[in-house]
Amino acid sequence: MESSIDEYIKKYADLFVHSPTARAIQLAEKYKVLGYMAQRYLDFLIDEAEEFLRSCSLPLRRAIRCNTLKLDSCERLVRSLELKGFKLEPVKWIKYFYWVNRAPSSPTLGSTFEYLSGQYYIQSPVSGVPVVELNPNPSDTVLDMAAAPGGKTSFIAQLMRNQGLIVAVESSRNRTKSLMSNLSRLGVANTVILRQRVEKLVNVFFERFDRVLLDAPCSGEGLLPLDPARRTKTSPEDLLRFFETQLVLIDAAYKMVRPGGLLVYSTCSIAPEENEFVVEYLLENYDDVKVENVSGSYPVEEGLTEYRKYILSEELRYCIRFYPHKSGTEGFFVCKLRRGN
Amino acid sequence: MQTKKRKLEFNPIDSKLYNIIIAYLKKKFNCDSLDIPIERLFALGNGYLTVCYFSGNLEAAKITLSGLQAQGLHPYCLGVPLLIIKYTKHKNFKKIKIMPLFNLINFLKNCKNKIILNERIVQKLSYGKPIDVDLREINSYIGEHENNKSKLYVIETDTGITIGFSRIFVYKNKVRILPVLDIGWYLREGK
Repeated sequence: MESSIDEYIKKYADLFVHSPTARAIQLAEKYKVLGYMAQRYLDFLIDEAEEFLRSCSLPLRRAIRCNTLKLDSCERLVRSLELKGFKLEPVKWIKYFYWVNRAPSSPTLGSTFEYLSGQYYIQSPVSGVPVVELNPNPSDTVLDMAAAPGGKTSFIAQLMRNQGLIVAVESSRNRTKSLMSNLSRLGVANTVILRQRVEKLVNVFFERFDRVLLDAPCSGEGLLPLDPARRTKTSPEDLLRFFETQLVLIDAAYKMVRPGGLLVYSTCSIAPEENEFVVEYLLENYDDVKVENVSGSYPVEEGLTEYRKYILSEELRYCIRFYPHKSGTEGFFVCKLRRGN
Repeated sequence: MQTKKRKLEFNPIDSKLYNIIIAYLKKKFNCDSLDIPIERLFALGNGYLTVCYFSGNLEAAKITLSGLQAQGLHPYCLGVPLLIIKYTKHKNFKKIKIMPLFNLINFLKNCKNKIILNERIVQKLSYGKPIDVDLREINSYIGEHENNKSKLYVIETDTGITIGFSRIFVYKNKVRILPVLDIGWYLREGK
């Protein structure tokens, strides 16, 4: 018998078939991306596609997150780093994050005593947004589904003041090691770390968690400004494989969040196939899921409700998309979903 | 997957082991008292134990652990590792060796074996290298000025950052600080 995921993939199979137009091929050659990628940017960014591609060649500012599990005051951290020659500026739209506007040649951002002692974590502010939207409380039980290297897990622990419980799951052995050493360095002490394929945990954790974060494995199409290799790395077939994995994971996430609980889905990709079409799967298959508006004020665009020939659920517009040409950050997607009681 | 194969179980530590740990740390770091709640300590392993400290919701953690164990699944870690304990056989005695880890520092705030130094001076320690410091530069307590290899000192910068644990060796007007565990482990692991 065909599963609902298989049926869903069949329904949207055309998403992965592309015939780039002359304009797409011209953009692809100019900006050294694959033709099908440029075509998709024309499809959903329309007039802004070239501006987006141009912005992907500009360097991004680095940022840090002050870790209040190790510090009483972020101002103290700012002062001590400024004495070492760093120039920091608070990110206006997310608490605890600072842009690094200037850094000395020595010590580097990743070798100061403050860094080594866990007082801060080098982290893009957009990757903190899913955690802020998850809004974990000290009394919650939280599942972090693809947890390594631990930036989001440790931010969750910070907001929970090291109370409650986080179950951090990672399937890769090497990535689990980096997760463990980062959490140890950052003083995260409310976490159970598991190395396991998360979809295998549904029976153990069925409807168990108050909040679930699924920062899904993805193509990294939002990271073009940081990693030029991403311009040609992902084929449509790869994208389909990510889509399949993401559907399996979001289905598992839904089953593990308790009725009334919150699920935040995020990726470092701007691909609609890895974002709105993944969330749409839940909306089509489960009656008790609703997309909620985000609580913060971010420099973002709404989620897509139309793409190529497909019309998606209207509520997907409450999801948010970060673009380098709009927010000066890497591309990122966040969607906040509430499971009904 | 390895989490199944290792079959390492987390168990609360018993009061006998707890008392051994506390007595060891008090002696090592010269502490009047140590406030580490026994109910928050868990031991992972068998014969070679990692003692972890868990700060979160104990009831939720216990339910989670028993749910996992019922499925034959075992976590890699619970909370943060504080110590490693090794049991070895010495003649007819079972000998216990305790190795403190970095997160233990949070519990040593009231211990006397602490040396505070300028950040510039302690830089070398973060590469795992020993340093020689003029005795006059150390304005903090250094125990009995004894060259007792079994004592450990917490080394802290004057900006309040703990650099690691060291042994010390006093000679003439100098103190040699020999790092046992230092803040640079993270970089040397290649993270």
